[in-house]
Amino acid sequence: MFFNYFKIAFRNIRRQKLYTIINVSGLAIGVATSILILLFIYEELTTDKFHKNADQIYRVYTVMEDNEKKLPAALTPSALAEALKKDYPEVTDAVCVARVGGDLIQYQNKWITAETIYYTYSSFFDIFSFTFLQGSRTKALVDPDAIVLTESLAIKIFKQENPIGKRLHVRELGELKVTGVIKDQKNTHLRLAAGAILPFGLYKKPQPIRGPWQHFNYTTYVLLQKHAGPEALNQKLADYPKKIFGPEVKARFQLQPLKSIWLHSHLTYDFLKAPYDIRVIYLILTVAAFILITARVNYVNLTIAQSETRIAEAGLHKVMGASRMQVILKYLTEAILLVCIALACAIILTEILLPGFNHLIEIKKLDLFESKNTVLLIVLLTIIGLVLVISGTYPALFISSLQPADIIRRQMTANPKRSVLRKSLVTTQFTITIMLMIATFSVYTQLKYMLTKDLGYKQQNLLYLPMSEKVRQGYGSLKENFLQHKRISHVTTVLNLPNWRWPSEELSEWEGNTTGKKLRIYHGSVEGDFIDTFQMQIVRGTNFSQKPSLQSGSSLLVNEEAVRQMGLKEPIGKRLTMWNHDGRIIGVVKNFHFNNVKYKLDPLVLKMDPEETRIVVLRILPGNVPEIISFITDNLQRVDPNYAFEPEVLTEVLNQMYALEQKMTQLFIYSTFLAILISCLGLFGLSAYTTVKKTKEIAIRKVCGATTIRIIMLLSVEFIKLVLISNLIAWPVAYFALNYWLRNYAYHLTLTVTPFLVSTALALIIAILTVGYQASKAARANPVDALRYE
Amino acid sequence: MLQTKNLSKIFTTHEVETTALNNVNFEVQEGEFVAVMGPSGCGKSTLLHIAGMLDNPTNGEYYFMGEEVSGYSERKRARLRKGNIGFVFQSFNLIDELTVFENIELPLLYLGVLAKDRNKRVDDILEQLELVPRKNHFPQQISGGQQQRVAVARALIANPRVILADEPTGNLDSSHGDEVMKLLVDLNENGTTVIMVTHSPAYADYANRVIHLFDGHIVTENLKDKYNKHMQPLSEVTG
Repeated sequence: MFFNYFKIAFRNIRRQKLYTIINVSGLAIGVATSILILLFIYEELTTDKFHKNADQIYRVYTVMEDNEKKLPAALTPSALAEALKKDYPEVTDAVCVARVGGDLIQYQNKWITAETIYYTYSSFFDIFSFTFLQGSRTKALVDPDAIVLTESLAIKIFKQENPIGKRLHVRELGELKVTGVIKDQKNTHLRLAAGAILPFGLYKKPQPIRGPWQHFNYTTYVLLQKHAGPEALNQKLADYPKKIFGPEVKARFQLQPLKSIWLHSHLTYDFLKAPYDIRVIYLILTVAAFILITARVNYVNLTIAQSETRIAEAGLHKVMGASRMQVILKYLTEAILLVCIALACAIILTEILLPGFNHLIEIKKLDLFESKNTVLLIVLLTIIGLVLVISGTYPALFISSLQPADIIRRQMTANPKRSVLRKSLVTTQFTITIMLMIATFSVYTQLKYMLTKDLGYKQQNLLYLPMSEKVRQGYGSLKENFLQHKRISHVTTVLNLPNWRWPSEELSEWEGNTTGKKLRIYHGSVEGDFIDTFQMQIVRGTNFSQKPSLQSGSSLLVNEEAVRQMGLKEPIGKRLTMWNHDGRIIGVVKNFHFNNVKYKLDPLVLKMDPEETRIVVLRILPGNVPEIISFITDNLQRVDPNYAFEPEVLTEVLNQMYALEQKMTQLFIYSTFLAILISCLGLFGLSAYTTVKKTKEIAIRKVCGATTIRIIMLLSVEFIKLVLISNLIAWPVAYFALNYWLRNYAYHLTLTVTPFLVSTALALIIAILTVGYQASKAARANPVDALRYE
Repeated sequence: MLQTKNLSKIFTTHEVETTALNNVNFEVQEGEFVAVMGPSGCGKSTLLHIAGMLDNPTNGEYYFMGEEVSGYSERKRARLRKGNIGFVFQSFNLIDELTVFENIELPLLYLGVLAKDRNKRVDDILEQLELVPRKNHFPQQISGGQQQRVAVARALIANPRVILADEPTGNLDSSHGDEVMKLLVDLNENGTTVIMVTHSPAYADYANRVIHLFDGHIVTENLKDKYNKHMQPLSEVTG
């Protein structure tokens, strides 16, 4: 019997090609997208959970207290780890970690980039559960010249060779010996891909060297005893800085659970947290839900629509003696078969889309058939499958409940309840599509705004390169050589590029501060040509003198925001003292963005101190850039034959700050495209169904003299009304959601009506084209075709 | 008024060709009442559909009021149909979602007649056909005879020059059938050309010419005096 049901179901699915294609493709696209997104989210939510002691590992952070303001920062002094281990018995283990960005490693005269380098102690491997493929966990970092590589970096350097015991040259550190290889672990906040771990002793401390308690530049992790809660220790740690620095210090140490670092970190100076946070994960989850809902709406709508055309068939089965259960089973078999086909297609589609999706998210490479994902996949597919089959049960229950006599007498009239359900489902679908469209337009406009905002300096035509020790020593002559090129107009050096929050300090000592006011001020060291190279504007006073020896260390430039916050009417000549800065203000520079434009402008003080800078910045004139770059590289090689960096374009590194917004824009574009595609498929199917159902009516109207246009209007108007209702719902929801999102940006666009109008227009055009195709096909048909077999 | 020359219609389904009409030549003058008879599947309805420009012939010529229309597109045919031809079907073909009033009003709506005029004309015809009490009912709420009267009313409302009726009494009992036939005769007497497909010799008798179709051919034509009630039995015609 079941085989019989299966056979009939298969035949029906094959016979109704259009419905099957629309249903299967809509579902497959929707489910595949949801699987991809859920895989990503699952990966995100399980970050750092693989560590054996994940629940007992905490990161220590510092809360600086300025006036009323609290600044929680992810950085701690280097001496903290050892001190905590000594002073608190509940701390089983603790380790200090210094992380630097990429560096170059040379092996057999070939330079290879290590994307991350960590400097730490052996206990790092006791606290975190990284797997050693080669070498010993306990001895790997004991030797002062040891280097532990990740699997991918080891393969990059050594290919097939056994790396253990081999000697590598690390830029500016010299020869190191490989003592271990650890397995790549993508699912950790310590982004170790293609990275290396070195003994802490090799870390070059920033100049000028302060004591191990003074420099807040390190990350400290602690491993607590099994049943020691963090609350008690947190209370003790709050007063710990007072014990170390003295009672006047306004700072606290606190613990952050390891599992919260990746997505829940609220800390500043946190270079280890994800470039997005849990809110983005929720947003993506919402988008996935939206797409799945859109796909499900199609399925339900088409199934209900189709069932109405099959009422007579069900009646006949009943007359022939089928029980209600048998009729239900018959339709249910069809639903199950269709859902199975769709889910199989979804898995194939997921595999096809996965490389593209990995490229899109960049951070992690996902794998559909990884062992932990297989369980997720099975659970996911079962849930989705069940939901869909249950959705398919409704028509089966409805059809089977009809009395055969009613069906035979053809007393069935259109059920207004079902038509309301169908209409509200289409409205839901279009509401989602329109909201996504509005969001896409707005996110895109905000991104464009941030990328093109006036930063207060000219970011175009600037090249930068990190200084090596030899480049620093030979900088004077190098600069002269650079400037001899007719397309290089300015050369300067800086401590940091304007793409991150420069170091900040508390400032309370300035001439004219009678109230004892304190403020947090960002600072940076630059060379004399800084203002001219970046083409910034001095609004008061003078620029740094070109000759460094005259003013070095004693002359300071502040930005307009600093003047405003310090409350100075006449800033020029006022003395300002804070760590590492002691000098007089000689000029005020017009506010410029020294970080992501989503943050508000903060006070800034610039000191002319070429010794503290570490990056060369060159302003070039537009034109033959490769020629200029090769000129620069030639000159660098002359000063430092081992120099391996190529000059890079500043705008590129600035644009990287907006990676999150760029990813969000991409995400919205793809999701909107999918939502539109699925909605169109649904609308196409539904309008095809409506047209078929109204074939006779269309023919009668045509016999009565209706023109093609009138028929098209008749068939389209119902759907257009639904799209318009969808707009009424989508507009306010999108407006409030976007306003909420834009609040994250200190500088943002005011929402205009344009994205709303454009989205409405687009939705209408899409609906008209989709429905219009079916309608015009029906309207152009010979009316007699519909009436002939009456 | 209507003339066909060597008119043929072939239907093709699943590679099977069915000839519905084969070289049919016939002519209808203005003001005539023509009945088309013949066994099931002989091509009666097809002839009527082509005559009413609901379909195009496969071969041959068809002149409607002197215009050769056999190759016209659906759009052109629709324009020509509008206001000139009224249809009455065996299965009434009323739109279920529209009331009696709205069903009748439909052709006027498509002719662009103003609402005030529309209402008056529909009210007049409802009165004439004694359908006033049913004007706000839906088709499924009234009897078959009433439904066919509504269909006739809809066919008449635009004052067409030709009424094409495809077995208008086929779904009706004799009293309702008579009622509809009386309507058609009255119309014809007032100058409207009527072409009616029927199985019933009694109703064909109302016409002043009867065409017999068999296997897509016209086999006989009985031109008769309107008051001459003698008619050859159908069996003799078809052999």
